Amino acid sequence: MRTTDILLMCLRNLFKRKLRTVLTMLGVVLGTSSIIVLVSLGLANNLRFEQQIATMGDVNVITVHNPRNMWWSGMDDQQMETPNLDSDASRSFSQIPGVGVVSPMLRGELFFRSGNYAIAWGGQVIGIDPESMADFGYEIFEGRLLQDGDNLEVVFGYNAERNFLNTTSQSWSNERFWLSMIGEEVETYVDIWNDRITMSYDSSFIFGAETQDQDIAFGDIDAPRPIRPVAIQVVGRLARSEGDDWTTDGGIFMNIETVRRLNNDARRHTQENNMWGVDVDYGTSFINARTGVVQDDAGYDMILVRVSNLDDVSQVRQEIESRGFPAHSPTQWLEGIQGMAESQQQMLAAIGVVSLLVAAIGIANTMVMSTYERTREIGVMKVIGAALSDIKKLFLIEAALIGLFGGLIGVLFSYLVSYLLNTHTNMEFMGGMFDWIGEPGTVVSLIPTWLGGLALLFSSLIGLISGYFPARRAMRLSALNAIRTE
Amino acid sequence: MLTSEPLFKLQNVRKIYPMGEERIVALDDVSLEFHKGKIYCLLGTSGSGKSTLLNMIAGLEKPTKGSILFKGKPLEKLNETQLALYRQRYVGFVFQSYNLMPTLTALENVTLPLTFRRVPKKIRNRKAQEMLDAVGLSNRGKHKPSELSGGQQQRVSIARAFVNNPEVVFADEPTGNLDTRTTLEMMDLITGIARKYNQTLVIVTHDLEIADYADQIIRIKDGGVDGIEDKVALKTTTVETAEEESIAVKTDETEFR
Repeated sequence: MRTTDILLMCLRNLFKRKLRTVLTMLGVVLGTSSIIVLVSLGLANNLRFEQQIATMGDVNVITVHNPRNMWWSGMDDQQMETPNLDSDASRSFSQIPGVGVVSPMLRGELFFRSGNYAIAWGGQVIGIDPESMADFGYEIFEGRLLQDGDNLEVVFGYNAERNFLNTTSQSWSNERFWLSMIGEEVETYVDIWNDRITMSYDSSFIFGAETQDQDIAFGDIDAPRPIRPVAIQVVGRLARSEGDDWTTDGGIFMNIETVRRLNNDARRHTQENNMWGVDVDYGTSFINARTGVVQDDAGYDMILVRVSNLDDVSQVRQEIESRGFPAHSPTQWLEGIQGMAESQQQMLAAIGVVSLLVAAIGIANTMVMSTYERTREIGVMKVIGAALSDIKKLFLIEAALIGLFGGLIGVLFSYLVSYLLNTHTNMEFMGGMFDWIGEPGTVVSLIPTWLGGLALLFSSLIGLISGYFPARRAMRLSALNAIRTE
Repeated sequence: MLTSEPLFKLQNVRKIYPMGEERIVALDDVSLEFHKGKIYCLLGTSGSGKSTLLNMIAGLEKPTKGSILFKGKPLEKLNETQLALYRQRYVGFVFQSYNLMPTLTALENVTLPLTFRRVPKKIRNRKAQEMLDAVGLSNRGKHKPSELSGGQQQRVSIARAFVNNPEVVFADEPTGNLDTRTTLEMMDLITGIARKYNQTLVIVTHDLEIADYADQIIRIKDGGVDGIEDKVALKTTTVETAEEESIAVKTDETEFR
């Protein structure tokens, strides 16, 4: 028989038993659409994941903290055994496969003043290796990035200048900084390019009269110095960070060596002027449990590790953690959510597969029934010259058509469900089972063309497989017995 | 006397059906010849084995022993696929209970054997319409079998059997379900077409009146041949219409060629 003749005859048979055909198809419709919808939820979830990552700025950077700075260390003499985040650690990180650039960072507790305006808090001083700034994606808005040899030259974050507050004012809050963070245009009190700005590790200097010409020379770190503010020079202002990272936008960047010297000075100063013992935050220094003396050390607050490939981030992070350093990456928490969502989806997909299996059994049942019913018809066809392969094809294609049409309706139905999910997402939907779906208005379900096409192909294939045994049965019927059947 | 090679040659055909412990001998040592363009009647009571004989010649059953040669080739050696091809190419069938496809129209039923032969739709529709014209159902092509009377259904069935221009047409009690008047019409029709196209016709019946249409009556009794009755001479003398005469003359020529 010609293919078109076979198709037409199959369609005619399906149409003749409308109700049964529709009921059988219904199983396929439900099976197909449940799988499509579930896959579409997963795809949309992945898309949102990617979008979220895209807004997060540099997601390839792992931040490694100094374990000696953690709250649980420094409490007993065990801390000597805690690994230190020092230049050795930094070097070892750079040897981990997949790691691109490594940059240590040191926080400084420093205060800035310009006339009656001061940065008393919120302005984080970040000591960084000047060379690595560009590698870590810091982009300049005005001026330049830090460069080798910079000492009292600083780079302000995009919004850092708005941390200057009026020290004579009653309202002593830096809401102006936060307003600017959420995109409000806020005027600045200080012209960072032209106004004189001084800096000290002693917070008391921001009040009272400003003394002139107090610059100190650095180099002799051993000699205790009186607290004198030093003048700094702003050489650059960073562009707004991707993902509005407030640490970057509000940060003030300096050469890491300068910050280390200032921190050591501050530590000595605190120790010498501390009458109550040692219960103060010493940053990266630590107190030798036996001698009770605050020591300088070469440790860093943190080390930024830039991984070349996003796929390696998780692996590199785990490697660093296994060496005893607390490390985290921006996508870490997303990975957890992602993993949960995935296992939930796998469970639901299993339900979908089961329902499609039931549909397949339904098709097989319908086709077997059909061979019983049409035994005589099959016999007559054989007697008047139908080839065995034609009989087989008639049943196989009929089963495949049930799968195809069921799949087709299933795909259309899935698009409808997808549309409804995207327009009417309710967090309470199915008892919070789909909490991970997201907020209303976000893309909840995504059915790309390939998914629809694949589903059609798959459902037809299911039909074909289900039709195989009934078709074989029809083919093997004895023509003589068949025409004797009444 | 020249004798052409027979269309079918049965040699010592034996058919045994196992029935539990017993073995029922349906046919025992039957040897027969069927020649091209002649009309045969297998006459016998029910259970005589005549239907079994027909089924074996039609390739629906295989003999337990012996050989059935079609144009010199043994049918019993063919496999299912080859048998299907044999029926498709050379055989037409008329059933007692018509056996039309209920989902197809009369015309489509007639085209079915051509459809199996992959004949393009245009050609097969034309041929089928010609056959419907020949059986007097020109206007019934679009009707479903359920919308036709028994006689009309059998006419469709006859059209279907002949549309393929087969070498041989088998008819198993073709008029068993019809009244006497229709029976005679049907027999005129079927033998008329067979004669017109010089086709072999094998009719199975228990009805003597029908047997009267045959050139040769083969009486079957208890699984064996009980007698062969050549009716050609008789036929020639009883013809009434000119058409039938010409056919008879033609048959004679064949007989004595």
